[in-house]
Amino acid sequence: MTREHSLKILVVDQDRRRGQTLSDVLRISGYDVVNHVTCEDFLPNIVAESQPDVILIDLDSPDRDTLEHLAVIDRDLPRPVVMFAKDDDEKTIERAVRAGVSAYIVDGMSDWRVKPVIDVAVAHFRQYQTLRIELDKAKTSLEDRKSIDRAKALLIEQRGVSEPEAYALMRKLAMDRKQRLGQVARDILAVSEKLQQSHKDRA
Amino acid sequence: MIDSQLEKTDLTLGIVPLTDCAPIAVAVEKGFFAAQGLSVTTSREGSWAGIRDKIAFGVLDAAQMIAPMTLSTTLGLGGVQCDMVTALSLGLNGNAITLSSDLFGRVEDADPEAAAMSPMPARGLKRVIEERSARNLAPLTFGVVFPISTHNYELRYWLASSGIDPDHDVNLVVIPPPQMAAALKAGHIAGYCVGEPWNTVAVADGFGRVAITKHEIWNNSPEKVLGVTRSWARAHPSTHRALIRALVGACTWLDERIEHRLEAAAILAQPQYIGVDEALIAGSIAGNFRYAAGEPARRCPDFNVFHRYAANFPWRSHAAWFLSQMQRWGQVDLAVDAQALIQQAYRPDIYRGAAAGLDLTVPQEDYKNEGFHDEAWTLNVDGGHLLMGPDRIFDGERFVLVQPAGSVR
Repeated sequence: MTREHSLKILVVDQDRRRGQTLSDVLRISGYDVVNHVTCEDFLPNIVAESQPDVILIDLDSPDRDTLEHLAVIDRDLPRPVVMFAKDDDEKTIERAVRAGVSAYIVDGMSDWRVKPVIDVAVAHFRQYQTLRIELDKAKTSLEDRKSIDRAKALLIEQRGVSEPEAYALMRKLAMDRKQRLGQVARDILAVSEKLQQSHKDRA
Repeated sequence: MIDSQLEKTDLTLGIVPLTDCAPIAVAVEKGFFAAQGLSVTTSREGSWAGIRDKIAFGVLDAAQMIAPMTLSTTLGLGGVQCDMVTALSLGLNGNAITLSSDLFGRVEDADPEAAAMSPMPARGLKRVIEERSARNLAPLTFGVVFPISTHNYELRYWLASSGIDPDHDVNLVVIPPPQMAAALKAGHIAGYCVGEPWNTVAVADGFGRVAITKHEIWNNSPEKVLGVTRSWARAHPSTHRALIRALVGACTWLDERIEHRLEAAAILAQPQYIGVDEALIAGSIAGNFRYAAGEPARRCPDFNVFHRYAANFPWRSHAAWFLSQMQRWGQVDLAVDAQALIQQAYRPDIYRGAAAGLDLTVPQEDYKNEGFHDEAWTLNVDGGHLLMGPDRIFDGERFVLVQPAGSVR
């Protein structure tokens, strides 16, 4: 009954780095990660070879459908089944879906053994989501700042206003239009570009 | 006209990279959603399981869906139970069965007469399979896109009609559409049934040859639908009708003229839809389908049907056929209450409600028989008639799918 001691887990993730770190986290937690693959590999063969008890896979992976099929047809393999059916706690599953991870388990595996594995995966995927959102935010604010500086310079040059005045003007525009400052700055730059273009066309 | 009662206007719709996501892509790009007051974002999904889960948990409002999935998810087959509804069919036909060029060659050698037939039966393939079995070789592996899918039933139907048992004589695996051609090229599978452009991709590269199209297997047979959850449909009746009207508009536009089909090919080539070379999409969507490299394309005007032949109507008889195939292949208990399931999941009443605002002739019946018309035919309805396409099944089979007497519509 080796299964009693160590669940064999297969991690399938299109995001190689996320899959790698999830595998590491699971190993540190004492689980046996039998394989870690991306969707370039041919999954039916990998499942047959590694005989996992649990498969953790990113929700958007194209390989999901392959697993669904293995669950239906193959009698020789440990049959991974979708977690949803067995789990009475729908909130756990909803959290997993929203975090972007899904799990398949061998038929007959008890929930209390598998749930901690899923919790680890969900936490890990969420952390990645948060990081990505923060990265996007950082990128946007950097772009905003660049646009705002350029629009400010443009106003100073074209309208002969001071820097604080140019800034105040943009703030007012943003409040009136209920837009972000970055958007207002980009609009100002776009209008100016169009004007220059039409001047050129006429000339 | 925009319905002022819309419960929700910002919607996210799931699509899978296939030619038959065209109605949704066109409705976005040509303003059909906007004209109904809807702001739609599309989400390109990697798997049908993902589509199902995201609809079930409200991440998506609606999606392009393989038609039988509405039934299987309502039944809870494969894990997730969620009551699903469709009130709109997104089109007819559009798939094909492709064999590796190597296998096709062997099939041709085994039965040259059958290989030259059009539609081509699987007779030659049966001989190849028997030879392999006699030499104790492993069974051939074929790919389909989902266990509960039109593609699975089409491939199985074609094999079984020549006496090949799809559960014992071959090995069936599920592979996502965009990976199908690569799996064939790598030799993981010997053939597959998939939607476009994933047959054309293998043919263009010369490593695949088309054996038969879905249209040849069963003329003008049902394909994708617009799927939503039953609770979403209940909470958003006006938005649901607006979605249907927008998509019927896009489907009508797609069937109006060849130029529109070509414009759609350019739209679909973009990465948020299919993301392949436009030329790979433009052939079949415009009715020119190439079966083999080095052969000229064959004229197949009905390779994709998006609107004509009452294509958008959610026939309950189609649901009955899907259910019969699920039962045939042991995917569902024979004791399932088919009538109740079909009436819950297939909602022609909602379609009629949406169509009431359009200049559209709509069938009055919910069921029709299949396999009885070798030629186009006319369906008479109050105040007009509908031109219907042929519904021939290649082996001459006929399906009586009329609603049993005494049941409530």
